[in-house]
Amino acid sequence: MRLSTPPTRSLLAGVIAALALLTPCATPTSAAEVDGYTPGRGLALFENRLIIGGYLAMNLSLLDQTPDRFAPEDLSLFVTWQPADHFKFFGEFEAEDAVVLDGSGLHTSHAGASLERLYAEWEPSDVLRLRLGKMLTPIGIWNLIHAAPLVWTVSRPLATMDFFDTGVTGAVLDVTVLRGDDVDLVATAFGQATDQLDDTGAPHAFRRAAGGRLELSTTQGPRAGLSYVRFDDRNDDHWESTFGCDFFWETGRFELSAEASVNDPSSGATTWGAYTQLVYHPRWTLRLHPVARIEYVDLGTVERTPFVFGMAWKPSLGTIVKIEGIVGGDDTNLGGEGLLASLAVLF
Amino acid sequence: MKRHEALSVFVAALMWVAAAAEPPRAGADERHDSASWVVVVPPSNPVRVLKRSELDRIYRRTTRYWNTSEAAQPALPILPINLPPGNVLRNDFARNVLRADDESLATFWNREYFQGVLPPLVLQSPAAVRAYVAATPGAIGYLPAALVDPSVAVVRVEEGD
Repeated sequence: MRLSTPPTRSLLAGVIAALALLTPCATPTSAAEVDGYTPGRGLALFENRLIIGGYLAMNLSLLDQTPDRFAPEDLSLFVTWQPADHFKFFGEFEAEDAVVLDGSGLHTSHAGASLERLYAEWEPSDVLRLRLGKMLTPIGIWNLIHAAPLVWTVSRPLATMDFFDTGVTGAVLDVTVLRGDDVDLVATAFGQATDQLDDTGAPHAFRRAAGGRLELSTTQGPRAGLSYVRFDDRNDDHWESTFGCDFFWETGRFELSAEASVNDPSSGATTWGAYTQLVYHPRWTLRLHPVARIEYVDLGTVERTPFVFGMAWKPSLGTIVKIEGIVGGDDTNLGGEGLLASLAVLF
Repeated sequence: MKRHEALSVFVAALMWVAAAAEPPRAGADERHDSASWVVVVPPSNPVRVLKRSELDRIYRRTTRYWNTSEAAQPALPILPINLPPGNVLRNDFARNVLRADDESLATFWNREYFQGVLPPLVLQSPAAVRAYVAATPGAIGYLPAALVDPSVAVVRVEEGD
């Protein structure tokens, strides 16, 4: 069977040729020397100005309040194109639940595709960066690195996604207001004035939003952030506010992270969530990383204190195998208690 | 105790015990023999001194533009060059400048890759690094001191932050 018809190949060749014409050669070095495919870093073309990569995550879920299931949870494709030194375009396209194996057998009824991110970036210097398009909402740590190969657990704390929209369609401006030898203070402002480019399906969905973030980081020490967003919630037609704070510190063999989010609706109960996670990075041949996380969530109608403990194994630098147990997870929409496992690979 | 709860507790306990019991890799904490390297830029680049912390930022690509006194408009992008993984010079450079091992750097770059930022270009030999740096405005690399010639300028790295 031919997977690629001649017209398709011609179209692909045309696109690549067009990008080549639009991409200036900035250096005299042979492109062959710096381009090519690197596992976990994508396919680099045109002297690294076009990068095509992504990741695949396959999840096994054995939770007591949902049917057992096994599925390729995410297949995500990134495309980065830098036509000029200070300009970049970035897109992330995701196929979810393409094939699911559960009590109903093998099916594709939950399959879907989404546009996770699509933006243009202008960065005239190290202290200023402007992005226009659809981006991840700059609140907290987890939301900005939520991809399965980058996080240590299969499950995601509610505090990182249940109190704000995970994506923002509009503008994000980052300004480095202080840069010391070892310390940065970055101020971020973001806003949304149009509908979401592709609905994120978040419990609190932005229709209009304006927010900001301050992040203080040290080169090899702790970093901490404060975030705030005021938004018109498309799901219940109210203006709401969410405040977040986060902390990350990798010291010696330990990585400690924590986040908290508080949602204050104009009417109704204030809800909030927080977690603390500890990861141990041993100098061991098998690259096994024990992980423990405690979370508290108050959703107004239910309270929950899930405890996650597990192990992440990194057989190669772009691959992670995770297995974890969850206890204390009753009465929420996350499936309850039990076991989760996943294999995630950056490509 | 429910079936899933019991299963999760058992598996997690088993893995924590396995991790705790595994012996450290032989020599993992030992420092390797130090290699002698120098940092180089094109002679047209006026920078001749960098702090270690500045070099760290450059190789992590958190500093991406040269900040020279000539106030070039627009700012010239920095193109850091690495040698291949496993190279003795690269290992020594990472240990002394980035102060990180391969795995923690991989975790760092995995997260940057998700934001569309790639690690420094990798060239296969010090000679290739020298040729690239000599011909590329904005480039910076490191070489064995013995390979330095007039096609590149040496940058002194100051200790401390």
